[in-house]
Amino acid sequence: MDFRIKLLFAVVVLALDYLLLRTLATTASMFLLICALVLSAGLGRDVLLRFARFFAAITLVSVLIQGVFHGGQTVLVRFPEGFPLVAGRSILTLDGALFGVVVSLRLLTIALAFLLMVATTPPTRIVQGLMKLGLPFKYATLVTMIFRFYPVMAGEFVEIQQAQASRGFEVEKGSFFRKFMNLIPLMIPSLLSALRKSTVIAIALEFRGYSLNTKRHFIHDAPVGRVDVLLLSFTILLLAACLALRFADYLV
Amino acid sequence: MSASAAFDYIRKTTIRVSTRAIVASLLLGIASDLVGQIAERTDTAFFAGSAVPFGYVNASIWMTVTCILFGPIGGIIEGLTQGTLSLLTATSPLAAYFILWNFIMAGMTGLFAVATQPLRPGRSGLIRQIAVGEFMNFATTPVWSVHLLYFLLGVPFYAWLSAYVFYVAIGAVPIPLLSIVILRAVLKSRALQ
Repeated sequence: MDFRIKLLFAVVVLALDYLLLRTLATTASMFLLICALVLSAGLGRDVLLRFARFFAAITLVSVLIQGVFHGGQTVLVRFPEGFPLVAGRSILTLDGALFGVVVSLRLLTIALAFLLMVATTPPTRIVQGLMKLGLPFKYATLVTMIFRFYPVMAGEFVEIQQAQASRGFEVEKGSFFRKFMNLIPLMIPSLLSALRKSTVIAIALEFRGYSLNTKRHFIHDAPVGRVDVLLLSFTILLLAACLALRFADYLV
Repeated sequence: MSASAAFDYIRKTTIRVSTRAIVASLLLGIASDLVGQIAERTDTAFFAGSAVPFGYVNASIWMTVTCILFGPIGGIIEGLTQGTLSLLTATSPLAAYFILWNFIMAGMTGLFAVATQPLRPGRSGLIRQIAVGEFMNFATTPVWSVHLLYFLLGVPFYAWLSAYVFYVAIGAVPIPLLSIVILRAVLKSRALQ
């Protein structure tokens, strides 16, 4: 599938979530739509569960903050009558707590939409898409290099960790501020290894004409197919439907 | 390149980048993401995911070092690599925003690093390294904190201010200090040869 159409879909979801969808029902509907797409794309429940773990904390904080500060008609918790000055005033409102849930769902929906875009596109297609959007080859090709060098660097990082552990180093030992210093024995070897590797890689890239300012061609060009047209139509329909509902005062 | 030439590399920050600087920035972004996974584990142990001071300090240190060595473009490549990897590995639900925040933060810090280059030759550049680290901490933190707390989470202004003070207070010493330690290590190792 064309990367540009997926990017357009993610941007439309982001815009709709922030500009048009304000109620719990509409935000939850969009969230369920994206969840269905994530599951149908084969990303599995693992991703959803991993995100849910983070969002449990964010939702709790968001519900508490919005519940206290947002205000609303339905009061859930009040100050007891005996309290001086604030007796009977609201502490937590239902409207605020629900708005906290809307805010969290919004964040989760957008995170999943962008994850869907990146995780379902091969790196070469992302490069092609970025180049068609006008990014120079020199920078667009960095996406493939991330995929190429991540396993190499990750393997080396495990070795660094094991080497430090064999010297009795424990990253999670010590006081709160000591833990910042504990990052140093991991940071410096990783950084030096990256800098040393960069020389060899840069020479190899230059030999292959990385800096040449010429028009690039790909062996497998990806024309816009039927699935791309379907997704584009769906995106336009989704946008049009939300706009129509907004102007008909259904999305308030 | 001699040791003094490597020293010049740290002292002089340029806007134009070589192929080597591009590759090095990319690899530093990957390394940053790997160390970030350790920092994130520490954050989870301390704050159960509600605050990320270790992740923030880790990301800021890497960006500061890259901006001093390779300027704004290098810093942006490092930040974007880290953001993209966070998105790909589903490290955080805020990963989609990391790309935008890192872009702005690294761009600002890189330009600041270029603007504060010593005019007189022979200066050590230590004050500049501290200034760049503190700029990353104090001046770029509002970018992500206002966007996240004020616009995305919709918290009141004073709640944002408390969070801002919390993060800049935590990063005030470690970010410039550890950046200088790392830059000194780069200088001694001759890894820029």
